[in-house]
Amino acid sequence: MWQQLVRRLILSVVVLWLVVTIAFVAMRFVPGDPVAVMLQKSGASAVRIAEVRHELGLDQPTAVQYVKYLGGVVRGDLGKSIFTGRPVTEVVLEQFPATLELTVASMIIGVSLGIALGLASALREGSLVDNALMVFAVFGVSMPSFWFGLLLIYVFSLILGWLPATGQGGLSRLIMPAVVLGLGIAATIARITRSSMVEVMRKEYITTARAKGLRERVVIVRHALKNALIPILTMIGLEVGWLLGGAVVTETVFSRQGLGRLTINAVTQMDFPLVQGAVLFMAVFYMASNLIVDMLYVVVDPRIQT
Amino acid sequence: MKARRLVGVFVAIVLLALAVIGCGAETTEVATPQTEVPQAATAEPTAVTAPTQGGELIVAMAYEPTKIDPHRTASETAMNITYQVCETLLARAADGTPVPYLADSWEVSADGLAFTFHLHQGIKFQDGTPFNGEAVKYNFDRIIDPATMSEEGITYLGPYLSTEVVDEYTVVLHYETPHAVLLNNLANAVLGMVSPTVATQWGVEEFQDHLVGTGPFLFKEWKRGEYIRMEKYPDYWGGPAFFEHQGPAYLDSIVYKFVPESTVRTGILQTGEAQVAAELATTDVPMLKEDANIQLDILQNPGTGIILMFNMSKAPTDDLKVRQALNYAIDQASISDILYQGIMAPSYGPLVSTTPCYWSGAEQMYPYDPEKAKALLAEAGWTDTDGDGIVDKDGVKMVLEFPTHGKFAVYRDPAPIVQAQLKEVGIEVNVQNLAGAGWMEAARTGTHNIAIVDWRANEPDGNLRNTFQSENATAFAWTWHKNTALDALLLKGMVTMDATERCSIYEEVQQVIMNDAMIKPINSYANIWGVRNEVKGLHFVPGGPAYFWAFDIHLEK
Repeated sequence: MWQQLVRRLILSVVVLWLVVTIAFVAMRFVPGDPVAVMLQKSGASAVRIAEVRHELGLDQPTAVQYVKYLGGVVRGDLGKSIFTGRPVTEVVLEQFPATLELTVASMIIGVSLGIALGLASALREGSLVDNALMVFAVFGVSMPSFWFGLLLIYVFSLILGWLPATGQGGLSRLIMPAVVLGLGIAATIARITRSSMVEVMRKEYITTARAKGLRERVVIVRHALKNALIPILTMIGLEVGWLLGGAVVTETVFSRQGLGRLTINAVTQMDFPLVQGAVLFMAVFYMASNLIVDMLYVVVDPRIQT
Repeated sequence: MKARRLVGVFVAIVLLALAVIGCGAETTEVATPQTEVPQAATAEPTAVTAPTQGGELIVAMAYEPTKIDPHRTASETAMNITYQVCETLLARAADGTPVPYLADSWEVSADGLAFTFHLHQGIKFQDGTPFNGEAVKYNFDRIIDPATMSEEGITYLGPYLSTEVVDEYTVVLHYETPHAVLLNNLANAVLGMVSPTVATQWGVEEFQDHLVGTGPFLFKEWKRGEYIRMEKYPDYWGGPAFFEHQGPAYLDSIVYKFVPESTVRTGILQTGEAQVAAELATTDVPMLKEDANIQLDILQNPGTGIILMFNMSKAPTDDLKVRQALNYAIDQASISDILYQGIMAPSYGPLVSTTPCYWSGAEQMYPYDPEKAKALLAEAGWTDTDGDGIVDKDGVKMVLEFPTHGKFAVYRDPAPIVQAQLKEVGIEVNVQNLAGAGWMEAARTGTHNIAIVDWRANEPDGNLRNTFQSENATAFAWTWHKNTALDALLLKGMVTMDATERCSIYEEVQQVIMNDAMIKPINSYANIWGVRNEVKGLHFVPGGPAYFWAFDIHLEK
């Protein structure tokens, strides 16, 4: 187990290096000049733009900039935002609590609802309930968060006046964005749970368990669900990763802070260090969530360890 | 992306329809093209009772600034915010003339090179630092310091040399060349006064999180991605004469919330979650007009308006006849109707009608006339020889490159209509929706035939020199055209102190630009504000429709 963990950590470092490098290179292939964007309203002359580029070190050869940047990252210095001059680490970290809060809340809704629906559906395979639930799942997966978010605001904020439409702080401002994201996740997890459970329920050990005279609830939870859990866990890991950066539309509709919005804004402004830093952070948390999922595999299925 | 946008449009339409039904409107109002008369300030009937003290004002803004240090920023949202915290030496009256603010009086030397200001005495910054000549000198020197990396203030300050502190309350600003619009510009937020003590203490990058000025509100907190909050400054010096009251502000606090979705801004304005909302969508205007709780203020911005700039150093837009044909073939009135129900009014020259020194002669120059456009193209040698609907010359089809800003709706949305209208006369347009940086890069490097841009300043110099002075081609003068006579006129306008003479220079500039068909004007940019009825005493900054002063605001239930 430890050996595997060490190997994973080394691999993680390589992946992070690749992530940083790709982000660095990709941003430099995008046409445009961050300084020109920044100074666009000042009527800055070409000379002035060149001056500012020099002050920011953007006039150096790309390779030199890359090596300098990488050196900084190794020392834990992600540089400063071109636009604000604030340290990237600080900028990213102040957005992180909002993203974490929304991720956790959506996952709670998504996982609990998804597994419940998936189970209900699998255990009544082919029934009306099963079909209805799977229609819901398709709906949930394909529903654009932009549309669903606005619909919720329209109903619960504008018509009923129950919930505030914007910002964060407290359950009342968390519930709508979490439901928007959570329902999408629930739909995905319900489908995975259903197919995994349907498969497991046909296994011989389920028949054996029933033959032993175990109560159906025990059969389902202890014998079937535990075995069906591996693909569900994998999906949960992927969804967490997606939520870290992919909640941008929901964040925008509900005027929330978040890593997704931060990153998109940084990309459009071509704030190189900020994009690289935000991507790096997301990569770290994505890998961490997947590492946790991998470790949970071992808990769920001891055979994986060997 | 395209599909998603379509879905967005669809949802907006559905929600709008639902909302209209929900409001119980018997008939759906058909929006007729109309131009609101811009109001410099909302005049309130004189209140019989004393204004209510206290309360929190919530303002829903569309964009979040990256910087709010007035000397460093170019963000309109930031300027709206700093108007409450950092005051300016002068302000503008509704007619554009300068009025006293932190300076009581001023004199301009006959050569236009020295501006003397007599400062209001006894004012202190919010940290206790005295506001005096040294403070003024510190501020202007800070703006031109390269380390400040001023994005906009440095342009408005112009060819500034130094500040001479004559005595505690008298300063003289010295100029290299006359700066005709300085008195006007000194009313802009980006030339606002910050506390020298606090600005020095925190340094250029961190000061904006500790912003201190002389104003009626204290900057308290910037929760990035969500809001900026400020509180009443109880020891405020009292305020200039043009406000309705003297003494501290009425409100306890103001929260500027960043709400990027316009439908959500409209929604929370209607529910009262916000009392003021900025940059409302033109599509929401008919619905908001039905709402008895809300007053709409549609303010046409002075400036160039949205203009198409033709690249005159690249074929085929280097040909005057082609550019004239483009002017006849594009119908700005229908663009304004289709996209904005006429709310963002069509424009006809390099300045929109709310800008000082506007020349109305441009209005009749290029009426919509596709037949005339075709004739001009034929004169220039462009005809459709192979019958494919696209004109050609010497075996080359006419294809115009039109890179635009895919994220900024007022630049993005006219492009497909322009494309369709030009198709009618046999011109193919290659529209590219780029990110902001790509849009700039295409025009800055001159790869475009058509570029789209607007400039919003309340005097002609800033608007026209930035967009037409040939040396600014890498900035915004995207016609890529060197006309020495035009350049000379623009410089002359800048240094001509006499207002009448200056306007006649700018009229000539506007004529040159339109005679040469350097641009195709599309529409003015309107700031659409929604203000709930309980908000009294909100004054928009004259000449700056994106800003208001909160000092007189009081909330009456």
